[in-house]
Amino acid sequence: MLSRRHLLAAGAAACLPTGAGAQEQGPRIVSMDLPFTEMVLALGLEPAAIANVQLYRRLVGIPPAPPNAVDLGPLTEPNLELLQYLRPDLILAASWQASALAAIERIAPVHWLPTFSREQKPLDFTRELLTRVAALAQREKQAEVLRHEADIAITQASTGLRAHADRPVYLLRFAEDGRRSAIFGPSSLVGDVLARAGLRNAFTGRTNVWGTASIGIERLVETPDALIIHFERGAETIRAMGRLVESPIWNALPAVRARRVLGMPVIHPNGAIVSATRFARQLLAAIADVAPGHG
Amino acid sequence: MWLRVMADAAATRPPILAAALTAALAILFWLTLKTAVPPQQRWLALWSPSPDDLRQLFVHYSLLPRLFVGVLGGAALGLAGGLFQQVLRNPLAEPGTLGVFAGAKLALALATLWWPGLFGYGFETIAILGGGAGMALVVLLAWRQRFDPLALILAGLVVTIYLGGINAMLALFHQEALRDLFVWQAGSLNQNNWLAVRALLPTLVVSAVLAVVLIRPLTLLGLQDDVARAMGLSLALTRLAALTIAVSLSALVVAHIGVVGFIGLAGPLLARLTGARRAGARLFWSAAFGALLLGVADQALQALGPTLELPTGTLTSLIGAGLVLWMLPRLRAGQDPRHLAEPDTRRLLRPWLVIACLLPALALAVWAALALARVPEGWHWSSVAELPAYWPWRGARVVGAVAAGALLGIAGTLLQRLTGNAMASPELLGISSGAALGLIAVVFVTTQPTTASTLAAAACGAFVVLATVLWLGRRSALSPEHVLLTGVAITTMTTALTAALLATGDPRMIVILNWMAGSTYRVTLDQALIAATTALVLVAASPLMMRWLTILPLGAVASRALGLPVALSRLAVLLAAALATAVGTLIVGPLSFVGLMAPHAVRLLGFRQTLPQLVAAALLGAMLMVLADLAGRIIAFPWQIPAGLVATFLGGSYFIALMWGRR
Repeated sequence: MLSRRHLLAAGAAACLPTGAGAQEQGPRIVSMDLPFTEMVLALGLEPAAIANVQLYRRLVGIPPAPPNAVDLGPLTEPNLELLQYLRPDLILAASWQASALAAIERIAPVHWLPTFSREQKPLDFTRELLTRVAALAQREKQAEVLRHEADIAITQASTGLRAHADRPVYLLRFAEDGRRSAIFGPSSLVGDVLARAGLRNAFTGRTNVWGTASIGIERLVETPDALIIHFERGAETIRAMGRLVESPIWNALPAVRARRVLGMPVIHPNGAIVSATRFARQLLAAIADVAPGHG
Repeated sequence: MWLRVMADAAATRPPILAAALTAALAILFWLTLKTAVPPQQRWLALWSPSPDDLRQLFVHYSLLPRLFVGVLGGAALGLAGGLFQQVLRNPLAEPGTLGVFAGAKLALALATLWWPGLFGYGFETIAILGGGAGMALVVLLAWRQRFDPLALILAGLVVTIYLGGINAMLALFHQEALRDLFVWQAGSLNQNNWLAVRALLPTLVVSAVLAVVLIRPLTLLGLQDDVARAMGLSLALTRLAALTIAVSLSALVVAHIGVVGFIGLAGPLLARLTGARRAGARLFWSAAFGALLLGVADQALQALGPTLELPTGTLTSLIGAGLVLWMLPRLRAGQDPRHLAEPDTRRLLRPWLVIACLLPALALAVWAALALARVPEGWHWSSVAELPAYWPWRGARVVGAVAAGALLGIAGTLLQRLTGNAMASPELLGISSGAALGLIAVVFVTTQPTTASTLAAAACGAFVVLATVLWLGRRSALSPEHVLLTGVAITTMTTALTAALLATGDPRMIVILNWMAGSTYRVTLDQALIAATTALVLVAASPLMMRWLTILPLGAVASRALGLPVALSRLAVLLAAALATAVGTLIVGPLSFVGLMAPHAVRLLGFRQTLPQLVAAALLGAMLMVLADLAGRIIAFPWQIPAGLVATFLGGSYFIALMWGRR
């Protein structure tokens, strides 16, 4: 049975040209994991509900989730009653959630999408994922724009940083205690963008499937001439830096002596395409001012 | 004073063991040093590193302070443990078993989330305040039992589970914000400067001096209270002084290194086993062995390198739990196991009538759990016609919660009857933790855990713990003390293992964590029905065990005199309890306290006869759990608080209120 709302929506769809800004007429999508939230928002849609909105705001942040976004609860235990109540058109969920959340298939059509790949490079993987999400969201044109923006940002970064080619770089986030850090290796998304910009990842140790590892600060001496790029998370990072300056090892690192420790706004190390674009731009802006060469 | 202490000590065997451990420490440190810098630079690197040579700086500011931090932290914990044990006259007292670690951890988590400004006063202050509060709670709870060793350790265990439950709740909602803290709290000793050494050393020296001052009073404390009082000793003041020192030392270690389990237990134990007799010698060797043990454990982990990525604190906790189990048969068993039981103040004349009233109450709770909900606009009570629409989301969890609560109530009653101890419960005996270990194993070993395989693994875990309890208790004929202390060790081991797995960041851990917190989210209807069937079968079979359960609490001698096959009947009851625990734990996780609370409350209500007590405990357990599930589903909507966590909170509060009221 057609309701008045459906008729209005159909009328609006007939009148308006398809394109960005026409938010109301897309499918009502629910996002169950961070990369899908990033993509759906970037495609110009307002999700019907988002699993763990706080976590998205804290770890990804851009594009911003609307202030009145409906929160479904944690990624591992989203509220299924609420989901049923919202009657979405489409659910985007991660493959890793499939075994636990199989029941959501009773609520709406679910697309179980992978969130990482062991075979593909992270950027290639997230580009393909965007294609699939855009097709489901009927936003292929916007996806084309996003992919193009990413290509341009990465090309600009590699051109702009040609003088720094093959320079080793540590990518990390300092833990509050000033003793450990989460470090991002070549198989993380940011690590992949770093490589495409012509730089070398200074960390070659073992990482988890997401390309991250937790290491003690003292291990940064393994590649002494590396640049250090870290993600700033406000008060936590300030406390971490306050403790780091008390470490003679830290103070002796060439990058620290030459003031080549570069902080930048936080980016999810395994975000989606917007995170990749932002990282490429931030990388260019951060390193462009640093004198080329080593030490 | 020190001279006498040294002379005294030298007369016994501790120096031999200490020398062996020192040699091991030196060799391990040498191995690490050898790979770090070329031979000609080693001396330079250790004492005066060139400011431009990063490898030398690494040795001087990372390897060397790490060695010292291990030794100093170990000494602090060993001394703290020695003081705790001397004051409390309890060979199992150490920061971990007394709630100090749990209090300090919770305080640091609370500060991280809501009062990060407090860190301006230093991590130490927060850790000391939290650790002191945790210990104070334990002391208050054990006050009425006059620091009876078992009552104290039990109170410590309850407080640790309770505070750990609050910590777990924080972790569920703020996992990302607390991750750094958890990695650090797992007890890794990485250093990149001498700050931790500089913080630990003065406190340790001051504490050692104070301990020397306290040696004479402490020696007297080893005597009976009245003897000590007759010799003019202010008992309270001496105790307070020694406990304050011990708490500060332990909390300081938490603040700088994280939770390092069981060093505070192992140091004093080695001191005693090698024959240190006098209070002074014991404290000295407790500190020395603590220092050497932590140093060796940490250096060994370093020598193994990245092959074994385990925080040092976790390793010591795992080893330490084994140590407690090994120690148990050597502990003197107490005389009267029933001193913890409630006095028989009240007796119901018509228990079955009360049970008949409990049934509609349970039905009402179940109905509420099925019908009440929150929606974005407010509250909603589903009509009967609407219920089928919500059944897929609420049916399995409600049936599961009812069945699990009933099973835990049954298990608790069986264990309390069996041991004659009102504090016995599947949670405190470690049987729940055994089931948890089985489940962790199956999740990490198999690729696709099924209902059958998880059930089998949990049951296996519960039975293995049970077998351990039986085997360790064989000499004491399953004395309640030994059985309960085995539970302490196994619960601690599970906690340490979980912390280690949590620190790895393995995605499978999220599922385990949710389950450990007692989430009914993933319960399937199959699992719920299996649990319900088990509960019904056990209730139906319970009349067969009635004679045993009525006679066994009278003690082994009386039971034998009445012609009961004591060992066989105990085995049968324990098997039934293990089955109930395994199935119940699969649904609501290992730490709910319902198995403690339901039988206990039923006894307080006046149920004295065995069969009515069992049935009433099952009904009350079911009601508690289903209400906990309902509360967890709606309090933080759309987020959900696991039913087991709500029940832990309720049960812990109940227990603490109860012990408080009994003072």
